[in-house]
Amino acid sequence: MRLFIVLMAMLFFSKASIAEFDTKACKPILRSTENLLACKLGYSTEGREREVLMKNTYGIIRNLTCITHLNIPKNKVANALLSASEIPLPDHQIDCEIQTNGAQFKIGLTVAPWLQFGDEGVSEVRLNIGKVTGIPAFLGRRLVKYGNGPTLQKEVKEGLNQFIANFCQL
Amino acid sequence: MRLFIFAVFTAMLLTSKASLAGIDKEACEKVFRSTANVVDCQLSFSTDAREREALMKNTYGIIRNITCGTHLNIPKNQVFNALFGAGKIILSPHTIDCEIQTNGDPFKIGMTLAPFIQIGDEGVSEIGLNIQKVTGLPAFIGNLVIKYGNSPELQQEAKKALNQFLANPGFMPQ
Repeated sequence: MRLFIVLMAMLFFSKASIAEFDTKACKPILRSTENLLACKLGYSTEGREREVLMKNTYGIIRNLTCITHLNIPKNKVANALLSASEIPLPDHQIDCEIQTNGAQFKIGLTVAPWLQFGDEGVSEVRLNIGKVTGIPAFLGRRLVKYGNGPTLQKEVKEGLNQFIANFCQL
Repeated sequence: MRLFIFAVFTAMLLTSKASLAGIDKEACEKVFRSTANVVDCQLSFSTDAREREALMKNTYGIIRNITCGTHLNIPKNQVFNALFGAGKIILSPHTIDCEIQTNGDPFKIGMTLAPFIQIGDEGVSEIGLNIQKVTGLPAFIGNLVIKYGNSPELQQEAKKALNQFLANPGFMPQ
């Protein structure tokens, strides 16, 4: 479930650690017997993260809030996890507001992530970023290229495996 | 980081289509990577061996070497906000001081420019070097430099160079 948040944050500042996300709407559905996890998931940086964000962006980005509407069939995830197979997720739109030193931007992007599970957890990840809106096209293309590039896929994979490891300790 | 636009500008002014290699960016890189908003630092550049050869060839054997320095004063947020909001970057006047080594005596030339850069959907859409003053040269030559420096041809070249830089920038991870 944290996937989108991790993805988004990683897009903007590599190796992000994500703390503050609003799971109010998603938690009850996740814990219910309903199969489709259809809910709004919001995220914003907290105090320490804002500081890291600012430092990593050389003082330019001050805050980041994002929201997405999750649409994930729980059985698909559970079955893939247990049988070490793949999960192709449907398109998700992520809308973010970026507060810089002096301005505010609204950026949107679509992702259709694909995960492959193996014996040791997530073995392969593809974010499949399809579209970026709200910034000049030349920067949008750069973001798509970076977002779909091997460096970020590797980081997301590591982040997800870390998340699964933490989750399993609970 | 490479806000070495000034280096490119100056080099273009003096040796059209020059590529600059020897840039001392240590002081500026440090400020750029800090959280301070204004990149306020001394930036200097000089030609390397290959460029010196090209320079000499392009000036028919007259100019042998160029070293320049400028004190950058660029608010990072202005640049970033313009990039992401497809806005305009208006920079404050910058003086570039150059030493030109000819086949004979060295000359000191200074020029003041206050560039503006308009960002569009496909990168830099318009550029104005806005050269305001040239010192160290007889006025009639200085006026020629200003005329050439502010000419559409050179703005076009500066635009192309900046877009090339944006296509492969250091500010966004690959």
